[in-house]
Amino acid sequence: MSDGPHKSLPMKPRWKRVAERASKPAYTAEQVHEAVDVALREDWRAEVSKAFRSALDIAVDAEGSLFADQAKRNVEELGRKFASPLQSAIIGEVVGALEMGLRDRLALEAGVAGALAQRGYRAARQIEEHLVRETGRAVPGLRDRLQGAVSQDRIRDAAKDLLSGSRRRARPSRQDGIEDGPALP
Amino acid sequence: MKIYAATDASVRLVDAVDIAQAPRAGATSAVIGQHLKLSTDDLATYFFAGWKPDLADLLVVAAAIEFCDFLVRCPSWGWARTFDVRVAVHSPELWERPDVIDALQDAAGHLTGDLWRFSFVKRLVPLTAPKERMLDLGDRVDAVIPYSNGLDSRAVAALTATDSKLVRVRLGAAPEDERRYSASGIPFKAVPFKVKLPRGRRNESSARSRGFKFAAVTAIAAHLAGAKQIIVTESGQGALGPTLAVTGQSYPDYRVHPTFMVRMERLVAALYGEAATFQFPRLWSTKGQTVLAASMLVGGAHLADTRSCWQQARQVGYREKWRQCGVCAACMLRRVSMHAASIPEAADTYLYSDEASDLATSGPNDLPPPSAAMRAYAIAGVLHLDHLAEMTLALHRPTLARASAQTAEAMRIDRDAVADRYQEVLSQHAEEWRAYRRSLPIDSFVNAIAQAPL
Repeated sequence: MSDGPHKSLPMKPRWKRVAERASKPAYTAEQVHEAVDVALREDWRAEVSKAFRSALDIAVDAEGSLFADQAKRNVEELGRKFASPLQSAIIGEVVGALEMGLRDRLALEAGVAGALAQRGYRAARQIEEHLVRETGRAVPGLRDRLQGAVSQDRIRDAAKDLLSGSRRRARPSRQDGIEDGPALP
Repeated sequence: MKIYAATDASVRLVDAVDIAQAPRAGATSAVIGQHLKLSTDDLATYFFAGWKPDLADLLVVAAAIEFCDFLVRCPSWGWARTFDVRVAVHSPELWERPDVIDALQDAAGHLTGDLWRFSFVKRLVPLTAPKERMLDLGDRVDAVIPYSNGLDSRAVAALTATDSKLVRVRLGAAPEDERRYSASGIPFKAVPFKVKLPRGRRNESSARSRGFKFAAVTAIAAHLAGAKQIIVTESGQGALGPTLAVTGQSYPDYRVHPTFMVRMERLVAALYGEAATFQFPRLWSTKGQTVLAASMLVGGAHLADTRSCWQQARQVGYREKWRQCGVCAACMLRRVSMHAASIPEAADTYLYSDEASDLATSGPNDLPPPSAAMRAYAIAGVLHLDHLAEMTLALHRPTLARASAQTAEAMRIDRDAVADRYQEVLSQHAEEWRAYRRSLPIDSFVNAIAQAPL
């Protein structure tokens, strides 16, 4: 970043939807939350392969690895076979969870939640950068709204859901009908 | 097709072999001597005490990695690529050893975020040994230190030279006058290879693989000089920052991070039996603290004429002077650091002013406004330092805890101590960033973009 060309990647449509909601005060914090939740789930579906999921399950399996150190090595080993920024983050976070003493499913859930939160904050930075490019100025309050929308509670729920193979709807609710107004206080 | 993750379906075959060796079916040729060019003259400044072809092979491997990195564009939606690389070396039996292959794939993968597979064949034509020269390194060398014309390398060399015998290793090409002078005997005067892709085939600009090249070159220099240590000159913001304030679906930049350097140590040890260790004397300091410390040495280090900006003269040349752009991330960090160290800079140091309210009007009146690319660099640069200044917020604690654990493991030091050092260096950065921004007009474009509290 500070040494050589900076490469700015395009925003995915799901994160553009988050950008739109976060930059317009007409959308409530809940609606921004919802869009972030959907974007993270879609990132997972696009980036995390079934093969990776299966390999991760086996790697942290307590039956197959009696010692946490072995499970950690198993998970680290996945970095030699799978590569994508989200899968790499999951590997790092699951290793961290194992080091903290979590095992099996709990380590997986904590690791996936950590990686999704990281992706949320990274996407928030990307949104800021793209919006500043449009006007040369920061959008007031944008950073706070985005950071607030990366909710740890929701992400933990999403991690559990995704690990259980849930196919929960990955579209945000629309609010563009003539009858749709802002949420009532 | 949108590619989100590295897969075998998108594998790219690259063969870095002699011209007489036929590439595999479907492989792109990276011909040694043609696309991967080793400079005999520059090699001579490395292998002055005797030719070691096994060490030169590491240069060819580094060149092959750079070739691949330039050749294939990182997918916009998922970053990672898959490479299957065949390299011709003098001793394939050494490179095919499982511990060597594993260390190599691990180091390259951690650095670039890609999947790498390597295989090796014997060179048909051994590399020509350069002429030996008499270069005197003195009777004791403690460490090698990479150098360029940069602020960090100048400052850290001044700080470290006070108690160690250092040998300098130039990263990048040496200026013409230095090249002429070096005929009389400066060791390690330039990176001894260049990578040249066929016209129109360079597709990726992020150049993450440069970290491998620089680590390999300094490790070889340390081996040849008998040094036990390699000094990494980067300060905290430059080494740690790009792995923390990451944007979007990019892969974190580990180019000068301890977790990458320890992997390079493992590779070099697997290859050659022993490896110098990478030392980070300024990791827990900001660049401003490093610059200040160097400026306070007796006689003071000469820092004002260093160069931080990577923009070429055709982009930032003005009135016959190759200026620094003044707005990219590297320039912005330089500005913050020089401000923190209270070192004034000449008015014509930078092309673009940081005081202008609009980037479009930040350059001289008789120049067109900054290009769209330059504008994007400026915005990214300001935001990077601004985001880094907020990494101590409670919401980023999990990220810092993970980063501390990984760094502590790589450096083999206590995790809690590392966590404290992360907090300290990031807090110091936040303070320097705030002080710098306060020195600017409130309506400057920097303050219009940055959002961390003033």
